[in-house]
Amino acid sequence: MDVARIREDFPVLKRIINGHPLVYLDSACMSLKPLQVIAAMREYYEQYPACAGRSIHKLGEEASNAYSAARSKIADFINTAEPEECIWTRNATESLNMVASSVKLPKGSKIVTTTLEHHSGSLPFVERARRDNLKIEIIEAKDDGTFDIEDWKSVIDTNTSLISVVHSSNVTGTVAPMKEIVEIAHDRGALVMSDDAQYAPHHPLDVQDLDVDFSAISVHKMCGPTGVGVLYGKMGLLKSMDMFLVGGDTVADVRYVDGKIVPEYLPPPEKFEAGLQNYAGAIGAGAAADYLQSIGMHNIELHERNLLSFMLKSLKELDNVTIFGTDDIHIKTGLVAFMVSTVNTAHDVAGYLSDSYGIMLRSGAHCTHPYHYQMGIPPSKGTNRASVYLYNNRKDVEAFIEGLHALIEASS
Amino acid sequence: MLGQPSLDEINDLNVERSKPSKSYTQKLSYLSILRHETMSGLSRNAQCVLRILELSESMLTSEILEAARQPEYVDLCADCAGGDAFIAAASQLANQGLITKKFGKGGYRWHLVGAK
Ligand SMILES: Cc1ncc(COP(=O)(O)O)c(C=O)c1O
Repeated sequence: MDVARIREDFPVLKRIINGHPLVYLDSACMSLKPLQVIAAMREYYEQYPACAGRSIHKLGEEASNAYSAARSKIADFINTAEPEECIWTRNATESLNMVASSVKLPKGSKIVTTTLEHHSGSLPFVERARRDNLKIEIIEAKDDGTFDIEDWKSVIDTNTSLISVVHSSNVTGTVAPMKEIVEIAHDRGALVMSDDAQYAPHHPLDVQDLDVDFSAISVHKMCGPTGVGVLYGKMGLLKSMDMFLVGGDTVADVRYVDGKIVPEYLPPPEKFEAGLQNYAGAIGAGAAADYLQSIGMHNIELHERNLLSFMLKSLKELDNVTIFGTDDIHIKTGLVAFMVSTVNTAHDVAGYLSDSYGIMLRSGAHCTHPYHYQMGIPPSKGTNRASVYLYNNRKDVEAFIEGLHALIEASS
Repeated sequence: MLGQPSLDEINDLNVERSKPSKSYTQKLSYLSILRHETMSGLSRNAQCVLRILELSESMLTSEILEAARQPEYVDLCADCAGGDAFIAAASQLANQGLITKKFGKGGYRWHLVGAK
């Protein structure tokens, strides 16, 4: 993989921040955007900024073609059985909410989730359980972000109807044993919602091979535009789900019969895509999927693992730094959460590295307060997270470590 | 709504005007910031940072976050549990020149501009 060549695709990497070349280590929050994605969206706005699927004219036809091609590209990216199993949403959070609020679950059944979930992977299910008086049981991740598979075997019982589990944690980076979890769940009649917001951008994802029932994807973390997400669902399940939003574009017909308005809804995906869609965003998402696939998800995974090993090794050599999450890079996405003991909050690390070294990384509790509480870390103290992606190189990691050295010295 | 100094705040200031003190000078600068804020439309988090810093000569980031959790700031500091958005607002204030920050032992210390 030619990283120097790839870096040319990301114009922002040419920026100088506070006198230093930009070092971007916050891709787990938001990835940078390549020219190819920007160009695809720009082309839509400049050449055929029309309604897809409704307008008969030439521009409408071009928009319809590009919009449906984008769905196919995303479907291909995660290997769905058919493109119609991919629903466009605003973000992974909306995808998770859509399932939590609309999937049919038996009365009195149980939902299972974990302490490692992003709030977007836990709260929609907590609220669903509250709404319908369902049981909810929480599996505690180990401190290093891994799970004891025996916990899953004992908590998922035949009364369990749904599991929401983060495939790759945005704090510890740990990859959950999804195949095993799905097998246990299906064996007991439960559905699995996989939160792939962090997994899909960094690893090859094959939803059919994993046999997950639903998957939530965040396009802005995979080189695509903001405000776009994807919900994958098995077609049979999508068909049986209640609508999330209704209105224009969700219906084949709305009849007026005997003084009543009678809707006739379309099948998925339209059933879940009410109102005018984010066409430019979807087209950008398709371009992002194409871009990542042209480089190869296996190559990206391998490149990140190399950088991750180097980063972990360098961080371990620093006094005053505590690392969170497993250091087994084979079950870890390209990110490291850590704490520096010479400052009182993680925000000071992020502020200092940006101000003094042009290094961007994340601080806080990363929308995973339960895990921070489990670890005895108040969310306001927080942890730092450095995350790598296909455009990062060894120099970025070296600059980061040098910045940390200086920070520790200045704050001791 | 904190867009304008309240009548109570202005009255307090009038009382204190007869006995100028360090806290009076600080409060004056705080009120002038609040006036400025009506023009620039500061976020609630930013307003909260200013309110907290008004009470002290300088504070560590962790001390500001701790203060923000106290009941008297609940109306303004709704977003400070994780601190991300809150400290981002403080950094914006520093970039606008309304407050300053300096890195040293323990991390950043924040001051109101005009405070010693
Ligand atoms: C693991 C995980 N799940 C869900 C989300 C929410 O994604 P989105 O911002 O696309 O709603 C995030 C975002 O950081 C995440 O890291």
